[in-house]
Amino acid sequence: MGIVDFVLIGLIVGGAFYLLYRSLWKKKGYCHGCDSAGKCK
Amino acid sequence: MNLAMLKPGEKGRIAKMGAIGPLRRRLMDMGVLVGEEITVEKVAPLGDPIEITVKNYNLSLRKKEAEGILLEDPK
Amino acid sequence: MTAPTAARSFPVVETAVLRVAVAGNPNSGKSTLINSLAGTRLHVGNWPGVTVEKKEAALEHRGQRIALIDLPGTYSLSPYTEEEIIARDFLVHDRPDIIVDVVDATNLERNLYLTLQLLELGIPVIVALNIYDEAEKKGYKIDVKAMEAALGVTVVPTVATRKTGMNDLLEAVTGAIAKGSRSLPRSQSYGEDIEAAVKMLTAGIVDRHPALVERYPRRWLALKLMEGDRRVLAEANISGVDSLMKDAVGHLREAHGEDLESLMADARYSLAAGLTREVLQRPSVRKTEMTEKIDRVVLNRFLGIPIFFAAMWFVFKMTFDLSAPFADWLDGAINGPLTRWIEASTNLLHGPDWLVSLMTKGVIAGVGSVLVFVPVIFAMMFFITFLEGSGYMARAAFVMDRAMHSMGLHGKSFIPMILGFGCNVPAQSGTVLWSLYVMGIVLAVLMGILFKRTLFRGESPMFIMELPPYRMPSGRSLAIHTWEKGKHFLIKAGTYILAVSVLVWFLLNLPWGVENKKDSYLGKVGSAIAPVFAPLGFGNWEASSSLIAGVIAKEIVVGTMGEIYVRETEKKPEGPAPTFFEDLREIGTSFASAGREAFTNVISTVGITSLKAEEKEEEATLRSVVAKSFTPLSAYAFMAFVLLYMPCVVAAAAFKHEFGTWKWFGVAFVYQTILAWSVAFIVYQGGKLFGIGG
Repeated sequence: MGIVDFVLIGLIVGGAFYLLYRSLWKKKGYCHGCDSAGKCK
Repeated sequence: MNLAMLKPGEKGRIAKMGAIGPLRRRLMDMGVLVGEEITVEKVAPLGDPIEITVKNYNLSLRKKEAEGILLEDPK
Repeated sequence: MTAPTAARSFPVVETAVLRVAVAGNPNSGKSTLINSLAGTRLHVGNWPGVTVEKKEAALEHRGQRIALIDLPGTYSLSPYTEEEIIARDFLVHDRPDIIVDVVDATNLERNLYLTLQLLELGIPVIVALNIYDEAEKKGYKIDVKAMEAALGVTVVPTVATRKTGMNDLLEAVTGAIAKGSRSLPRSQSYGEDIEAAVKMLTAGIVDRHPALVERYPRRWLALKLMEGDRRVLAEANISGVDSLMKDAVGHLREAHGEDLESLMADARYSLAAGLTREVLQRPSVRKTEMTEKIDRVVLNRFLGIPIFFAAMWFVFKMTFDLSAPFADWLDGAINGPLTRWIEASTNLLHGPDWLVSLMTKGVIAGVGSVLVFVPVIFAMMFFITFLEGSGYMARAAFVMDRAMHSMGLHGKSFIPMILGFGCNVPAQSGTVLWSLYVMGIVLAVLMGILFKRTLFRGESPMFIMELPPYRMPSGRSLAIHTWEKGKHFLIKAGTYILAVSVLVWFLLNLPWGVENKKDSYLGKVGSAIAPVFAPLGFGNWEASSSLIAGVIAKEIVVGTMGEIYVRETEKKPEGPAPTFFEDLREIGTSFASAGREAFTNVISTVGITSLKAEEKEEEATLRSVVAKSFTPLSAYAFMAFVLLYMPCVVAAAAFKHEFGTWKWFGVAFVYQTILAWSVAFIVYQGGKLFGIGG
């Protein structure tokens, strides 16, 4: 494990959290694909 | 006499709309108006809802909703 | 920028994009028309804040750029339903340059009722007289010229399913704009009484509420005030007993009672009926139509319900028969060649070992095990689209409404319940066999009752619903809508499922270099919680860890299980690894054989052969690995728990946005978790009691 690994891990984890934030939180909880079914509330 | 009392195949003319609010407006928007002739086509297998013909197209509604549609007395 | 040629031929046209709103009744073929006009340029989204679909497309006709906006299908512009409110708000406040009104030629009168309301808006209107072929087949003769004269708008006969009249329609649109204000429709007269009142109201508004004139089309505003439209009254801040209102509509109220809303509906409908009489000739002898014949069987007292269940079973079976071979193919491709390629390329770039593991045992195992469901989802969406488009969906609702209604649900919710299950599909079909669906339905129904009785008490929505004629949906429409529905699943896989897969991998491998996954952070948390689930039959750390991760979204339960139960022995022991091209060829041939298998499955759908095949295929998939730590009964219990334990996808965010506080989310969370636990408990312990599959 070198410094490069840590930077890489940081980037990946950060990216994952960002993706999560962007795809879920910013969508205001709108659930894709739920609209056809009984609404997922 | 109201729409829910008709049997399949029977016809009637609407005398009064007893429904209120959104239901009334919805029915009117679909062409269910006073003076209109309505035929009951079918009753669903479980007894409710019913299918009617109005203005040459088919509409289904629940009996509860049909009860608010009053018909002229048959002569 | 508009091309110079266009600027020359239509001098009035500005260089701006022409905004064309497409309005029309449900079942008027509006959707197909949009698809035909837009082709691949169609963009499907949602109207802000609601789940009503919004379609848009950017076109160009003769150098004129056109933005098509599809309004929700409505029968009217009343202030009551979500669709109607969206449509009218757009028309009134966003003021499109022109409205294309799609009118069902086989159902002229009811469609004209909406047309008349659109004409009130003071926006140029083009009528697309759609389903023209069917009207002709019925022997209807429609005098298009007379219709144009009576409405004062251009009428274009179209057959959207065959793309007939699309060019004429676009010509009419650009032509109308070139004519400028001359293309405004003639205003229709609703009779002396009403018109007099409208005149007074308009004058009064200009006089006393000049600000409103800026915001609304005058005639429309006057008519809406007269109707007592609650939305407009509220927005305009005018009370129904305003002196202005009294002066203008007082005598109408005296003559017709308080209910001017029905007076207006009557006025519009008599106008529509008059117009219809004028322009439409129906054949005197009406022949029995196909729809009628089909309905005699499909809605039959005794056959209706069996046919419904047979149809569901058929769709169900077809979905799985069709998708299973492709799912296996995808599974093979992902776990075989794809994994090898990623390994090889990471090594080639001198990536560290942990990165290889993250890619293969994290991302591929996680996202891959969810992606395997893509064929199932798409097949299912295809059949749902077909049922919707053909007109059977409305019949199914008709047949099942009584049963559904007694549980507080709308008849329409049955099919999605059986087939779609929104977010639950992958979790369901994933972990255990599809027979579990039956239980899924039962649980959904139970949940419906529970919610009805507890959280969402209130009036059940009205059922008034058109039973449209049966129609064969066009291939193009089927493809577009299947894709639109299925697309969301791919988006999920590419976004949060991917993100969570990565995070789960870390949690499964921390503290760094942990040997046994059970000793990882996630494993430890899972082990700590596991006893809670012991009475439910799945008190192992694997299950509880997946459930924790699955709080984010249910598909993630499957993904996480994929990562936990990742297959270690995937590498081919004998000989050198196949080359890239060998892999490619192998993927190609196995795809072809999956296609063949799907085909034979579909052909023999009624047989048991394919079921056997499915069982055989089990061996190679995640399901079989999972099956080792589950008994059928505990799997059922697990399913029940997954289905119920958490409000679907990020309900948290939704709750927060809706209520601005976490409190309600907390309540819902606790409530559902307890509910899920209890149901799973009953399933497992009850099952054991009866000695089923324990």
